[in-house]
Amino acid sequence: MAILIKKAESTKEINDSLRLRYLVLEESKKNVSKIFSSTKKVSDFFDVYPDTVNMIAYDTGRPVATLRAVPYEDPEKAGAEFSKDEIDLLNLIFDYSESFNQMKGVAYFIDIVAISQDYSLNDLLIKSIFKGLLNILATKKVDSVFFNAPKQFEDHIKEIGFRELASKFNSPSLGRDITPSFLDIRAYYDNFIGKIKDREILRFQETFYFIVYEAGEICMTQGEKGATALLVESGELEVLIFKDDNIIPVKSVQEGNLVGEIGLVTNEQRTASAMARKQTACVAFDREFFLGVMRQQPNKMVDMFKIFSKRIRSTNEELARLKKGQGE
Amino acid sequence: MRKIFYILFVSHDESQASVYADKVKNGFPQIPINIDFATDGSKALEKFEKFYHRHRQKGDFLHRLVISDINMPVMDGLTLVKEIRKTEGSSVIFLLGDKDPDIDDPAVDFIETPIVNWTHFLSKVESLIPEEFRITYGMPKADTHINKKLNEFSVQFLKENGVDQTKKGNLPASILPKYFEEDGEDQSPVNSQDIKDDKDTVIKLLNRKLKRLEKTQIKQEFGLSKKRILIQTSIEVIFLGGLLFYTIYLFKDQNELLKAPFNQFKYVMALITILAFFSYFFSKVFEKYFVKKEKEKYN
Repeated sequence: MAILIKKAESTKEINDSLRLRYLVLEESKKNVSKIFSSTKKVSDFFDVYPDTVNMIAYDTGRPVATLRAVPYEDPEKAGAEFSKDEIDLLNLIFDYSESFNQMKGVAYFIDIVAISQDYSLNDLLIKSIFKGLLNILATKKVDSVFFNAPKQFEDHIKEIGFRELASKFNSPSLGRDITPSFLDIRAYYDNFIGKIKDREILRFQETFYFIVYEAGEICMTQGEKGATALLVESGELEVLIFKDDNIIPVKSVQEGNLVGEIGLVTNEQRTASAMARKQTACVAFDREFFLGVMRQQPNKMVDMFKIFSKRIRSTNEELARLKKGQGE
Repeated sequence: MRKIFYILFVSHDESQASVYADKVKNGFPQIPINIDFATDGSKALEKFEKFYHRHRQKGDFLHRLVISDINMPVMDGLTLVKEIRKTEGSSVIFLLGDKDPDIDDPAVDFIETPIVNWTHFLSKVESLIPEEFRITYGMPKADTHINKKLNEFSVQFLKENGVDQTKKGNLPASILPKYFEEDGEDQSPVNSQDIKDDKDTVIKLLNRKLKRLEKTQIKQEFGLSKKRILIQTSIEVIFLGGLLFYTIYLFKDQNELLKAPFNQFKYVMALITILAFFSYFFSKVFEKYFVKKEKEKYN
């Protein structure tokens, strides 16, 4: 089934992400420390920080992956607020000396990734949960992200654009080999936008969430009142039309294109269905959220007109080509 | 930023509205739905706007659905639609009645009453539940003809194209700080007694915290602390004791103080002492009664 990736904000979502950490520790047959866990939830003092970002992924009601990023500061600069023991702990957690020289502006540190065992080979899910976090950090105007990557995640983060800061070393705080890695968020975000054709929609980025569809999964159903538009981030969707009790494939939607955008503005029934041709990650936009942003910032309406005019132009071109084909 | 699915039932017949609400609640037990009722159009408008503003201020995003009768006293369904559309255009409205009013608005739908086909009604509500809620709360896809056809198509597509489904792993992929783990070689799962102990400690701490809170609340409201009561009562007791002792002293004959002018007033003195004791007793009773009443009022 489809996997939804979003920022954990409600009490349910945050509790689910804390519970998932416990589950993952249990799945890897580790003894969970009683100091940091109560009623099968694992948390520490970073979870109390207001700026901490928690991501959560759900597969049909079941939390399957979580990720945490905390604001990354020089503990000695912020010395007034920390005791010496805390500074020692921070240095231990961040393996701090390796990456501090690279830090510019506002920085975040990814310190927790927990992906349930059934989903640990789902590469697109892992990449998407990182991307979801990076997009949220980009809207928060964060400059750089650090991540002490274990071998499991090395390939995923390299594809996203992380680069190595130093060679592998054994981290005392994690008890295994890690590669300190770094990402310039602005460069990443420019690259992310560059791939998207209907990039005007990203002005509504406050409403970001990712959905990962498995191959063959139906993302939209004809005749339903759709309130969600999907932007294909990676993969491919097939648009299907149901006519005379038959399903007819019409066209495929490639990376960087939008489907179901009419539903954002009107509330009409969907005119076609959509199916994932292969494993596909989409950025989803919901109508209520979208209209909320439009009402608050009406100047963004222009961007939506640009998208629609583009659609009309491409439909006209297609129509002309079809007519020409018929004429011949 | 929370996301909320809000349904407002507007009907003059309250029992009818609660039937609709029960059907919706039982139809989608997984989804948290904020359900509200109003008896006519103007009350509905008031509730709708109040809810909207309260949550917009908090930065929440709302999915709103209004299910309203057409015929109602004070303000009917059609006027309600017009009034709602004056302020916003995104909420979906279902109008219930016996004749389709033909409103030119894609977000307004007509449902004929009495409703016979509940599956049809629920499928209309279902199509409004956003994808995010469906996946987060694990809602299955509706069992409709088109969904069956699409599933058949998808199965055939996968067979023809030989697409591999993602494999399941045997171990979780994770990076968690080591301090979340317990030291030691013991790999046995956490003892159930320990979990119980943990729970007991949490409950104890919580109770202690609640008691502390209660005390500070009383202190703030009545200015009564243990210390204050102790000091006040002891001063009162010393004063009354002195008074009693002096009165008894006056009634003893052979003392030289008897010649003093106080001697003539010894009966007055006795009266004052008795009155003081009575008033002290009544003030204590009154205080206890008064504090109890006030406490009840604040709680």
